[in-house]
Amino acid sequence: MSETAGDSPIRLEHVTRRFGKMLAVNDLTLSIPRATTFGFIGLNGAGKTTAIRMMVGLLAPSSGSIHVDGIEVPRDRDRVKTHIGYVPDRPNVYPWMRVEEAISFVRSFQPKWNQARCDELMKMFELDPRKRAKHLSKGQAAKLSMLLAICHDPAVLIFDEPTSGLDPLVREEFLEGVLSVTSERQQTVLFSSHTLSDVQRLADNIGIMHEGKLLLHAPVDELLDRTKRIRAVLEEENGKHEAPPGMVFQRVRGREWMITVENFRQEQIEFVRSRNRISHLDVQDMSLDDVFKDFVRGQKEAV
Amino acid sequence: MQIEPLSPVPIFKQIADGVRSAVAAGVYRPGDLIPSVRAQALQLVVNPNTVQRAYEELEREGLIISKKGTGMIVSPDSKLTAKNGVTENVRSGFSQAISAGRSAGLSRVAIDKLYREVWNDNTAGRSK
Repeated sequence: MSETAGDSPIRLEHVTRRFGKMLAVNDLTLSIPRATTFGFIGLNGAGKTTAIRMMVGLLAPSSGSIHVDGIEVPRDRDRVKTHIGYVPDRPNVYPWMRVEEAISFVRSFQPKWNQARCDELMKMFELDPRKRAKHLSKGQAAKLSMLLAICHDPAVLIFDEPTSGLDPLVREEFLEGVLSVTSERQQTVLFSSHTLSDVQRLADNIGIMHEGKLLLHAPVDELLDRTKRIRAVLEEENGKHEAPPGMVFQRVRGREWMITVENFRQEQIEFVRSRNRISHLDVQDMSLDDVFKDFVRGQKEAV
Repeated sequence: MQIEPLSPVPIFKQIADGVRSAVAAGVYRPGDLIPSVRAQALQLVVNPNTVQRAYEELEREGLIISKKGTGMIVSPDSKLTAKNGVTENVRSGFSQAISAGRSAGLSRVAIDKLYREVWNDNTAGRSK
């Protein structure tokens, strides 16, 4: 199913996209290994959707190169469509179409359409073929969107905020659907999300976008392992404090000094102890939520 | 078994702990087949690679062994291994609690007293 994609079915090199004076995506280099799931996170307006729209060939980069499953995008964007399953952030089904009409419409563009899989998913998602798209609930619409995106067994799946706006139960069902499809195939998945608990459950690696740039790209477990919060108590309220190397973000409130550090190591603790007047120090683990927020906050303060 | 995705404890560790405590409690007994990576991933709605990682850790410590053609089974002397794992968790829980208490200035006597109180609350109304 793949062409000479090497080991990274999604590969972006120095991709930049401008809208007028605005730099939406700024020199983005990213490669996602085959059969892994990549969680793409960042604040609204960070450039995730722009990057995704370039990957699927809906938007041309201002500069840089993009390969998806070995195919150059946007040059061969018609050909790449049979290699990608794409769920956009907004519904992409004509509202007046019935579910069955939407399916046969999409099927007509996909020579490798797998009808057995489609029937199986219809059943699993409890989709009524006679229902019109505009009458589907949000959850059903999301499931239809996913079904339409994956029944041609693409090598690469790209989901743009697939679970936003879904209630917790439907979200769970949707994620189960994604997993049941991807766990038996060697598919490469990229999904963007604001729901970090979903990212933590599904992603092997995450990337944090901020103001058009990729701030960080790391395995989720490793990131959690290596990012820690050092809490020190200053002898003097709001006293002088010198942060250790590897500091991502810090905040002083009264006597309490919180320092989030990356690549956590003992010498950071020694640094804090030896260069500052503190009465207490401890080290805390962090949730992905806090790691994300502190990386972004740190970036904002650096400006 | 339950997963808390936003806990600072990595998910693979939560899964490994879940299997350990299930074995210690006798949910899975020696020789029992444990759920396959895929089934477990679907049930918990987590990445199969994460489950794989948890199983590798359990295999390394000897709690589960892979049986060709069948899957992973709980090893014959698993009760012991599981207990060791649980002991480790209890130890690290105590260690955290004690260091939190000490840094707040609690004495050993005060911490001992707290431990007994918690133990009594926890076992109130039970035979043990």
